[in-house]
Amino acid sequence: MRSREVLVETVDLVKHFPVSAGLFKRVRSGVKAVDGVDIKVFKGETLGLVGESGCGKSTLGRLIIKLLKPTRGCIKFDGIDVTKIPDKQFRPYRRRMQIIFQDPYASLNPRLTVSGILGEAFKVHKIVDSRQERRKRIRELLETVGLAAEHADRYPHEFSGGQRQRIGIARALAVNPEFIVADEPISALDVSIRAQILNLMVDLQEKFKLTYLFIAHDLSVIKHISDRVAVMYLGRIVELAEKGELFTKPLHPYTQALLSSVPVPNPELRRDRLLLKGEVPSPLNPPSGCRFHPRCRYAKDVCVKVVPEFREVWGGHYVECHLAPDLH
Amino acid sequence: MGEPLDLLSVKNLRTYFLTKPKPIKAVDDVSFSIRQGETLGLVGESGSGKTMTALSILRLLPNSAKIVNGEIIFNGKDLARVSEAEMREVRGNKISMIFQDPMTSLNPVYNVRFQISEAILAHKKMRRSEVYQRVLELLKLVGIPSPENRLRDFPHEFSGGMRQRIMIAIALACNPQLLIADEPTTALDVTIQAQVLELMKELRAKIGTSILLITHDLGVIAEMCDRVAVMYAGQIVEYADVYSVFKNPTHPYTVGLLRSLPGLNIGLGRKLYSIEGVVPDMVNMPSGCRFHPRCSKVMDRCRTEAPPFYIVEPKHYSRCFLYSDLE
Repeated sequence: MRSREVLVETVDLVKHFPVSAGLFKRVRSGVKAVDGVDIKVFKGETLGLVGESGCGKSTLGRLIIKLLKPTRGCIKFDGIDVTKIPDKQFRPYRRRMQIIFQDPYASLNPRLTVSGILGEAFKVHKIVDSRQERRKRIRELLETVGLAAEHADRYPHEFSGGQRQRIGIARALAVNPEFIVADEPISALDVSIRAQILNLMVDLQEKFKLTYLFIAHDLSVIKHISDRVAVMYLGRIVELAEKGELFTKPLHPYTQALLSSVPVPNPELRRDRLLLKGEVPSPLNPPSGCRFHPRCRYAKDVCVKVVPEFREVWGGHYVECHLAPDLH
Repeated sequence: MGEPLDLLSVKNLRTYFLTKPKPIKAVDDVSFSIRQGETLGLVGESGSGKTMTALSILRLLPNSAKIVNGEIIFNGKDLARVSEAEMREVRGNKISMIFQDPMTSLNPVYNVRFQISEAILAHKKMRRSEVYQRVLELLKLVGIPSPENRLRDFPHEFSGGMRQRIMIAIALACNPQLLIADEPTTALDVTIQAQVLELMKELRAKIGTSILLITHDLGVIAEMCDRVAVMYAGQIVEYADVYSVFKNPTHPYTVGLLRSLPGLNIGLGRKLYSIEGVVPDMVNMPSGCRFHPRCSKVMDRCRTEAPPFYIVEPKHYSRCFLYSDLE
């Protein structure tokens, strides 16, 4: 299923949000939410993007499908640089890339019925013309995501969280996309419902040959669903590798600490953790050199002064650390 | 289920929202106990009644909710029946609570020195200088760096993890015998969660407080607890020590919950085991066993009869008819 064919690629992608202050709201500084990201997403794969809150993972997800405009850098979709394409001409591309949002309570219009929500997608992209055709498509979509046809005339508030997330997924699927950014799609759901939605996403990927960028803060979810995993810290990807490789041979000290921080649901495996000192620094003013150095237990002089390069250590394993791969 | 060393023992607790036409049974016949120095985990999904159980113990229920039955024996006294004045002596002093969201549970218009002092002075007569010393000591205890400089800071000047540490400092101000922690790390990032959990473990070892830890995260339970009570739709469905629950879960809900965790079921490919259906609505509770519409092992009697607790093994209880012939 997975190929080496690149579907989405970012080149030195940067997004700074201006922070204004003072009487005349002069721009004083910028939050460096995404600060130079180069990633490739291959056709048919699931790339997991993991990081703590504020690391820029959602911003990156939104940049990639052009819900946000990048400050610098470019995004290539299917080999074409879509960064500069004006909104109107972008629409055919928009149809091919969709997003599933985190909060199924906030991302569905409460004043539209389910068929209204799904029908909007058809209208905007002028996919289905006749009314009957539209109704038929909506029925099919609802069945695809595990809802019933009679749900079409209900409003979002009549559904539970898990069902709403199914509607969110149906909306993304309505336009037959190739690429879906799933931004924490299960973190707002109850534990027993999460597995249902994860399974649905896996099924849909197989059925429609979808490519996912799966954003989550929960490493066990990432481990389950991803083919490759990218770890983000303060606006940069610090490590990227095949899932098995990343979870068994993490090279970046941040990844190592992150993996060690996750509580394992097995009381016989209680262990000493690699605790990280301090907290994530402000992206307004990230540390010099390697951004992780103030919290890194191995930090050396070079880490304070020189920005490390995001480099391939061996086949497909990228890391941004001066000291890797000797830390493993 | 009582033991001589029980610090707290909750028996047949029922807390209802007294709504019309029929009450909502948020906590329905819940019994458990916590021994001295022990950590009991209360695990369940949203709406399963875990927070209502905690609020019942402290009698901090919203006006529409009431303890309609049961005993909450703490230090030989039934907290469900003591006067409000006596209850005030217990709250924050003998039993204190940490809430999920440290931003909304700290007062934004007072500095942290005031807020911690307030907790101390509510129960202890101390001189100003003594209170100051105690506040410093508490901040040091919970690992706030250079506490002398941070006394005058307001909650918004602290990060999420630091705020939760301040909440813990307030909770520990009077050396409580029991600490109720309601989802203490849910709002925090994993690396910060690891720090706070580590802190709670250290404090437990240092002070010997018993902890009632409420969470939906089975990982946190496995990491922290001695015993576990699994709640579903207002009832405890399984109750045992942590090793038995994880190694040998008996209630179909517990089994399903554990099997549906990603990262655990290796070999099943990309499909996770999933519990079908939805969490029941408190207003329209299913008849018989509350889990029966979602249960993979449902039998005829489950639809009509409500199962009692069965003893699966010594000290391992399960509310499921599968174990009815064991007795």
